[in-house]
Order: sequence, then C-alpha cells, then structure tokens
Amino acid sequence: MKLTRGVLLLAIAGLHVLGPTPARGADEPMAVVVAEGSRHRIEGRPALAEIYRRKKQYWPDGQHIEPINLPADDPRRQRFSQAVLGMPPDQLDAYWNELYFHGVLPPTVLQSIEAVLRFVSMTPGAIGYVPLCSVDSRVTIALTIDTGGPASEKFSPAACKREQPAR
Amino acid sequence: MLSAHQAAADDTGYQLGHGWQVPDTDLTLGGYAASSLDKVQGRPWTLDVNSLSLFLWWQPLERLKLFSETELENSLTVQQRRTSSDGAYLALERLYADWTQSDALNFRVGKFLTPVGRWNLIHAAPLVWTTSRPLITFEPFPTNATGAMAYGTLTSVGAGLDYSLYGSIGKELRPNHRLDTFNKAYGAHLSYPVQDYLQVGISFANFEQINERGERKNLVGVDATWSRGGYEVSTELGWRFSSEGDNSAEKGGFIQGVAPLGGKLYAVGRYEYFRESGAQPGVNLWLAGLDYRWNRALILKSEYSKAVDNRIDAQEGFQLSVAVLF
Repeated sequence: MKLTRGVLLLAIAGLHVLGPTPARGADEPMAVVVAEGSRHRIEGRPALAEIYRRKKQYWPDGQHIEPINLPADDPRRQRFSQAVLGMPPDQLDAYWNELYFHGVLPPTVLQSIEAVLRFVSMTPGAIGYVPLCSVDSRVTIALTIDTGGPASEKFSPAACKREQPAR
Repeated sequence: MLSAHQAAADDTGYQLGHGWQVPDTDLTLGGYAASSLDKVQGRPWTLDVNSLSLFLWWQPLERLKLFSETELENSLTVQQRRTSSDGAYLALERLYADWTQSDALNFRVGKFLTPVGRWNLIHAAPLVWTTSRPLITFEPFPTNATGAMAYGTLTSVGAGLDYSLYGSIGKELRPNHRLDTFNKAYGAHLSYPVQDYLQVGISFANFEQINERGERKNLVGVDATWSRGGYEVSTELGWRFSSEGDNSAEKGGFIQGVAPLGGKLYAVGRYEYFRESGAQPGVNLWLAGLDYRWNRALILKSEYSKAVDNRIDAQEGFQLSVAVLF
C-alpha cells in the first residue's frame, strides 16, 4: 500500500517538469481540497493552521492527515502561509527546526498545482490547497480561504470561466 | 516502503536540516554537529568539537515511532598545541517509543528530555542563538529522565494547548556520569500559543536525585517566547525549593533578545541571574553576541559574556562557534 503511494508520489513529483503553474491575481481565493467523496472537512482557519503546523495529525475518523505544501518561494504558498499561519514560510524555519529535533517533519512539498490535485485525489487522508479556479472533479473543497486581503472579497467565481484553469 | 517525504526528497534531492530517509525503509536519519573556539576566563584558548549528534527514528506502524539520539561529546579538544580526546563521551540523550492514540493523547516510554522550560527541549546548538546556555535551563534539574510520559495537543482549547505529564522511578538508561540523575520524579509542562508570535509555558517538577537521596525538590518555572520579523524575545524563570530548607533552594532566570541587523546577521543580547544552592549572592551574567545565520540549518555564533558576583565559576569570556543541522 505504502509502496504504491510512494510510486504514485514519485510520478506526481515529476509533474513539475511541465513547468511551474502561472500565478493568477492575488485576489483569487484558495480552495483547501481533499479527495472527491471524502467526508473530511475543516472547521475554519485555526483547525487548518493546526494541520499545517503538524499539531493535528489525525482526522476525526482516525485517518492520518497528509498535508501537502507548494514550494516555499511559490507566491501562492506565501499567501497561504500568511493567511493561515500568520507569517511567511521563512519565519517558520525555527518552528520546523524544533519539530525536526523531535522527529516531526514539515508537510511534503509538491512542485505544481496539478501534482497537488493528483496526489490529494489519490491519497486517503491527504489535504492540499490550490487556487479556487483550479479545482476540478477529482477533489472536494473542504474550506475556502481568502488570501488576498480585501481584494479577495471582490473575487467572483464567474472570473474562473473567462480563462482556463491554471496548471 | 516509501513515504511522501521520501518521494519528495527523491525529487528535490537531500536538503540540509531535513534528515534523510533511508530508501525502501521507514528509517530516517538526522542530527547535528557543533564546534567552538573558546577563551573563557582563567583558561587558555580551546578549540573543541563539542557535539556530534545522531538522530534515528523508525516508524514501523503508523501510530508507533521509535526515536533515538546519541551524542559524541567533546570528541576532540585542542588546547595550547595539545590535541586530546580524553573528554570524549558517547551519551545517550534520548531513546524512546511513542504510541499515538490521538492528537490529544500520546504515550512515551524510555529516556527523554525533561520537559522543563523551552531551552532544554530545543537545546541543540543549531536551534539556539548562543553557544553558552543559561544556567537556569540545566543547573536546577536533571535534563533527561527515564520513565513514562503522556503528551499531546488539546486542539479544543483555544489555539491548541500542548501538555506533557511524566514520571520516573530512576533507573536511568545509560546515565551520564557527569549528571546527577533522577531517583524519582514526576512533573508537568504546559505550553500555549497566545497568538501566532507568542508562546508561553509553565513547568512543575517534584523530584529526588541519585546523589541526594532523601532530599525532595519542587521546581516551578515559566517561559515565554515572542518572535516576529526576525526579532525574538525569550525568557525563562525558575524556582527550586528543597525539603532541606532555604540553603538548598535555587532560583534564576534569563531574558534574551535577538534583532536582525540586515541580511543574515543578527545581534543577540542576554541577561541572566542564577543563585545556586549554598551560594550567596547569586551570579549576574551579561552576554552580547553577533550571529550569522547562513540558512535554516547552519549558524555561526560569536559572543562575549561577563559575570558579576561569580562565586560558582560560571563560564565567562569569548566564544566562537559553528553549528549545523543535517
């Protein structure tokens, strides 16, 4: 089972050779996604922060949570980190060093939105975040996060239809 | 078997400070190393390889993790053209098994770091800003305990309350001959993120040590760390009371500030006070330092410390060190 998942991850990780996903405007909300059909939901930003700080590692049904991050220099990771964890990724270095000292590793990093969608859709317990317009039928939205400040409130889902979802 | 971290690591290559997962296993290796050049008062210049530490953790089941840390201390000392490894010692810092029942309830059995304050739990050289360690973070209590612990994060309490409750009946695993270990002990530590940038904690321990059987000690402590935008202020205060009376009591604390100077350079300042049992008055220690944090895993530190009323031979002088997490 684990071997299959590992092979899947290796294949998915290779998707970044397709190139980084172009960033949309900072006003596009982020969708926190789980696999289609999953009953896992997030009760607000504090709960999501606990998952992305690895303080909460199990879903209520006992399934292990596998959080997925984008690379630290990806603008969408920067916005997500600021909105959910209250600080940019580099300011969490000391925090992750402390957890590493106790044998806890930070969330796995995948290189593209498509890689996140594919991994989340095929891995029980996985959770990731993607721009709202990138959500497709493989995943279910567990929570929507405004990451662009006041501009996000003006974002309309209709804007997604004007151009193809970014990959 | 592979994990998500191994797959990602295979894709991006090994990264310093992230450990290395042994291919096709559930084993992860990591560690750190530190070396210092010291000119402490009353002694000649000394170059010391202070620590070579190896972490190894194995997760054979999703809810079971075995963790160990072994450390080769003072493996090499160079002093006045004399090279020696006489002070070398292979210490067992940690060796335990963790069973996760839920986020709120984990069980640990084995040898672990005593959960008192914050520094003792993150004492690895690459994780702290100074080469020297405040006295209150190790003098009043044994820094390791062998026993059992329940710990977890109570996510239902605000932003998540971290707790640990532990007990020991002595029988230290590979006791360090330089330390007076626990004979019996129990205690608790609570830590809470008041906001994204501020963490506060309280500690309590009741214990008896091997070399002072019959003397019961109570330790209470508070700790706080605020950090934002590269700035950091941290403090720990502790009081230890003894069944033998006030003469055996100890107390102390420190406050430390860190400020970014631009780029990767940081200024560090610290004041600490410590009154050892039987010593009167307590020692006051001032420290000023300059650190260069190359990246998350590598740090160069320089510091100068000066003591007032130093009747306990607390280390003071100049120290330069390098530490790397791997």
